[in-house]
Amino acid sequence: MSIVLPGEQVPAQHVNLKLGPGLLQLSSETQQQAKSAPVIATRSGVLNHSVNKSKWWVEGNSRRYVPAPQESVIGVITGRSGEGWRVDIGSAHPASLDGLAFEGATKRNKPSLKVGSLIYARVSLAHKDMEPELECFDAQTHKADGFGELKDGFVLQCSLQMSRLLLDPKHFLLPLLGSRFPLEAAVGMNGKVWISTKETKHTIAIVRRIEAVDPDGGGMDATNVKKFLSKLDI
Amino acid sequence: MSSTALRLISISCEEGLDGVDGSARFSFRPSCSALASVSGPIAARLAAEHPARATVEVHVRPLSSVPGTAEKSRGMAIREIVERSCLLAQHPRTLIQVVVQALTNPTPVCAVSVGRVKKGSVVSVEVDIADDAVLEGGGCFAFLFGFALSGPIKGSAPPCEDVWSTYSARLGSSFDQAELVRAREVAREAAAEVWQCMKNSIRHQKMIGETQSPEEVVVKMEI
Repeated sequence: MSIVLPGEQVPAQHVNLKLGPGLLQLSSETQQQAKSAPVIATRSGVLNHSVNKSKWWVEGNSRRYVPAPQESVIGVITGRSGEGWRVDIGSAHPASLDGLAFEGATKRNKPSLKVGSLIYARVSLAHKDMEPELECFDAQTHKADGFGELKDGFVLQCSLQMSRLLLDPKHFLLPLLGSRFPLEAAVGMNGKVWISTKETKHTIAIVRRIEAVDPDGGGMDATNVKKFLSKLDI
Repeated sequence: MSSTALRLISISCEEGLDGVDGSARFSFRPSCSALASVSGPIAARLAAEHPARATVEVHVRPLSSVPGTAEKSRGMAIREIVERSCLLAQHPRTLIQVVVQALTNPTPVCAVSVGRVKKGSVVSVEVDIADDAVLEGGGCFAFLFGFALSGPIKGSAPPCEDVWSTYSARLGSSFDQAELVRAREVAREAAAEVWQCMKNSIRHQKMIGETQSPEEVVVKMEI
């Protein structure tokens, strides 16, 4: 586990090298072989690699979301634009969601979304020169699979590393909270988490725990979370 | 003319200011510190948008009173440094906003990189204000540390090259090229120390479980 700062060289060499977020391969016309082109880090963070050293990435934290394709995000409808909607996903530019990008939608049968409603969608197009585009169905099966409108509930903002941790099935927090009371959660890769529980005090408990476990806000571990939960009246 | 000044550098990236995407605190001594925050890439005003790269805006705020021309000129200098060191082409038509707040009087000119996506880390070193009276000349140098740059390697930092400098002589004296070269070398070594200090502060932030020791680096500067 080594920390890298932007600009430092990373010793990533492999025949089938795949560079993840935070790494950049410098193009070099003077080098004779492309595979010996140097790789540098563009983020500060912990440098990780897969077991066979073919996949390298930098695990860093940030708060601002930059859209990338095939990521699930939570968005807020901010307005209509032609046949579709304008959605705010926390990126620099608002995203567009087509009216027909839902399961079973036809020209006569479109979902009725209002300004201010929440949706869980997948980023289908994310290019740096264009506005991002969203879709509310799975790419291969064209079924909803959880995407679509999120009714009721509460949305909270967390750092991007926290949302990646919550999406990890091996992370302790959501199963621990779910064992104490029923809850429904949707985690967006843009740092937004939607929670729905039957009682307000459960929602407040979850919000406080996520903020505490967030690496930006202290990074509490499992034992301290259990201690806190046992003190609460739930 | 030579004077030595000792500095205790302390850098903290754990500010966690709300409402911004990154922040850090930098101080040469307890009496000379600044706080910087960065937000971006965010939506830019239509007039300020650039079609092929991100726009950088830097605001420098003094400890008291409203920002004046001195702050504006420092902001422009920092903006030029930041534009040269970041990969702006990856985020066209967006805005990267940097706000530097001086925490002490007199205002230090310290450029610290606090953003999350950059090509190299930028550091600039300042001459001690207290020695102002005896110096006959002085200035700042800014160095960019990155792998692909041509430049000498100091210590464990990647090679660096200077991207910005202001070096001038006071009224009644002048300086020659040899002196400028010497000043640059001194600043380069000091910048490498500061770079190492930045890396240590990030290491402390990431690995919370390890024992923390206060990060202080003593840097000697000789002009």
